[in-house]
Amino acid sequence: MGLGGGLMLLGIVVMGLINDLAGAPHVPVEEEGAIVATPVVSPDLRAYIIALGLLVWFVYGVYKLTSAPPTAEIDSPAAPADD
Amino acid sequence: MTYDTQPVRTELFGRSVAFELDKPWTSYWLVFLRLIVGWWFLGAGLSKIVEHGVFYDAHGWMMYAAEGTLIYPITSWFAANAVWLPNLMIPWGELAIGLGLIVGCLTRLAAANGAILMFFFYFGNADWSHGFVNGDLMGLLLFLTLIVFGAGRVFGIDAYLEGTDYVQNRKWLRYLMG
Repeated sequence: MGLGGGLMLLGIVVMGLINDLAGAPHVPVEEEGAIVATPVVSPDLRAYIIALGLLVWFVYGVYKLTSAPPTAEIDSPAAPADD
Repeated sequence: MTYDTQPVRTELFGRSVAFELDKPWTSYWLVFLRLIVGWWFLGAGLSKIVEHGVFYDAHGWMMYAAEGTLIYPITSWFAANAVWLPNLMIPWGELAIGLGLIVGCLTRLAAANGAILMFFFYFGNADWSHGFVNGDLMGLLLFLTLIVFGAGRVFGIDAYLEGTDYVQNRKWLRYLMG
């Protein structure tokens, strides 16, 4: 939970803030075929970090699914699901 | 005025957390969110099927529009070797995901598949012209929200299914339902 969310916040918020404070764009700005402004933090690096955060969440979800006990004690039908 | 609330007390990152959820508003909001997100995907799938038939043509997007993105190795492989699969799965998958969310059946499974699709849309449309926080990321987070809260338990078929002995005896099935 912490790692996935931390990577997401790093890629989206922290690295976005670095670009904003440096006055740099989020993606390279091109005019007439020439790049006139580049971001401080590469958008590709940000994308990989965000994707890694999502993959951590995905792996955690699959782990939760596969590690659930195959059977459970029968609850009262009126009881809400406990997860 | 009375408040119908449910206390939540837990540990998060080693610190105790306690707050109260408004029970009617939480239930109302989960079903509302589920219906809107469900219609988003049901409508998207249905319009593709009506316009393009059984098979959608995703080849151009996968082979050319997604070029240079981090998902390109996956999309280009499918475009070159098994394009029939995404052509079938994009419209019909969207339709099934939307239907599952609207009726609240296998809600977490449907939302997980929606999140996977949004993962590809988010990174495949990666010119980032609308920044890193864009509609695709918001859609992805909405699907994850439906998974976290198990939204199919509010006016959903999952509420009934989870009460059956079959599901009660197979706890892992709840991770596919609401």
